[in-house]
Amino acid sequence: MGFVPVMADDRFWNPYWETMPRKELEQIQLRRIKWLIRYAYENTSLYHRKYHQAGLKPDDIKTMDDFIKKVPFVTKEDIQAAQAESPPFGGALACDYDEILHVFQTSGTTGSPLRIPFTHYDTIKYGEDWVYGFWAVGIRPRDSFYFAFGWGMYAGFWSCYWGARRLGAKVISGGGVSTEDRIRQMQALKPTVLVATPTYALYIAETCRKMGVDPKSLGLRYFYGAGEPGPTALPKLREELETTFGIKAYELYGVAEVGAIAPACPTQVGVHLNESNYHCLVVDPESGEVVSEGERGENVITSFAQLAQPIIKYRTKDIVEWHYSEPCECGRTWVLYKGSVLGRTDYVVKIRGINVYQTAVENIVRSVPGTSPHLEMHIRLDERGMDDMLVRVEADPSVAKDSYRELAERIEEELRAAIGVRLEVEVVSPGSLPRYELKAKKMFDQRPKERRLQTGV
Amino acid sequence: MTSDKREEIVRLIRQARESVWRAIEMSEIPALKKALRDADVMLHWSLWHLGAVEALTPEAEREAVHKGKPSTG
Repeated sequence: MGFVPVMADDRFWNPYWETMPRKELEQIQLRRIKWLIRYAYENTSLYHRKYHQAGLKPDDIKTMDDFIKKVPFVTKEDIQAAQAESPPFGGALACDYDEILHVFQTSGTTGSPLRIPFTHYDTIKYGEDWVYGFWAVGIRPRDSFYFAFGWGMYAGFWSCYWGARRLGAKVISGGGVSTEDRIRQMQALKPTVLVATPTYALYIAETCRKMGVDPKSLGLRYFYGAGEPGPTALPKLREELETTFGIKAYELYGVAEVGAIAPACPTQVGVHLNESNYHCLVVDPESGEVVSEGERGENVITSFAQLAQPIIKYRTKDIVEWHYSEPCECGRTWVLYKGSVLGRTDYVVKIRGINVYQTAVENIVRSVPGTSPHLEMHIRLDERGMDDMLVRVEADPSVAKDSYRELAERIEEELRAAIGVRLEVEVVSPGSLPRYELKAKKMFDQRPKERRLQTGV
Repeated sequence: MTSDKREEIVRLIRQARESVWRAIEMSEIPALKKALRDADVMLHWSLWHLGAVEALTPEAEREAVHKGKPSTG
């Protein structure tokens, strides 16, 4: 094997994988895909049935082209149906029930929850997914992590905890206490890394101000978030977190039932797929055809890492823009998702012929002075029965109530100029919209049931 | 890390796995068996870090080695 990684460089957790030439990477991935397809075919009725129905046997997959063209996609609904055959995991489980170490379920913000089992080894790999990002942005074993969440069934921050342990850093649990108490804990223990959803981090800052505490005094150096569009997807949010707390803010793109698939890039332009553990295709959501580099499409993931409940060509519904033919400025050859997750296929709405993405709306609204980070997007029908959107956003406390209409008009104009379609905007007073400890619910679909997308929005 | 050094590390890890497997077979103490199985998982993970596994589970990799299948890089 000719590839020799640069080992003296401290930028990488594992330069062997992170700087591997794409040709070698793709050769290893193809061997793994072949192994994985046989493993899933032989050990789960889900994949056995699916491949049998497609007239496919594991030996039929010889090239990447075979994988792209012949292997069917799998969806969340497929896995849920397999689980329902014999709860809790049914035909989706590839290992003995006794080998499962940890059970989670998805948060359910986009529909009914999916149950997620992990073996001991799965949890090691899931944890170490996070470490690639920690290391890349400068977090080291000397750092201490504050977990501002309730340690429920959400895999996201549990896996981050496993990652902090893999790294060898200190862990401080913020579970089971109020936001005020979390702030007092951080004042006392001075963690350097805040782990939370971006929405909740902003709520911590808001609560600090109510308590007369300067968020910068907490001594944090980093925010590392996940669970919803964060500092990479939303530059204004990044600026807000960094200015408020005096930190650098990063995010990881993860899919709870798959893994912490794409750690932060230190350049903050996007996140990198961890290709030692995952393979991706980006496809047109309608046709399922692979899109070209630089184009946007739905992220389709195959996991080599989480094997209790195999994930092969899984349609995530996440919209991404992928880049891979040139190494990133950070030195990685891994696929870059520029801007991280740009939206969801179930949240993209066509309004008067224009695709309107959730993160695009959010970015534009946040760029207008006088707005706060708290907003909602309501999909509804207009008077002609066509899809439309109402954006509700809280004003910054500094904005006078009699200026709300003027602010709304300014936001409407910015949206029209940037997206090419007029959306109605309603500015509401501070504190009007709910606050969340985990993912914020920002999309609401108020159309009749028969017009709604297949989602729990 | 040179190519030769990588190959030597892979050889040492595989040798360690052989020793751990023999110890697992010989041990009767549950605590010891668990510790050794965890050690084997970490050795497989070490090979993964060097791109030196094809079978994605430690058990399947062990089977492949015992059946004399060629290792991959």
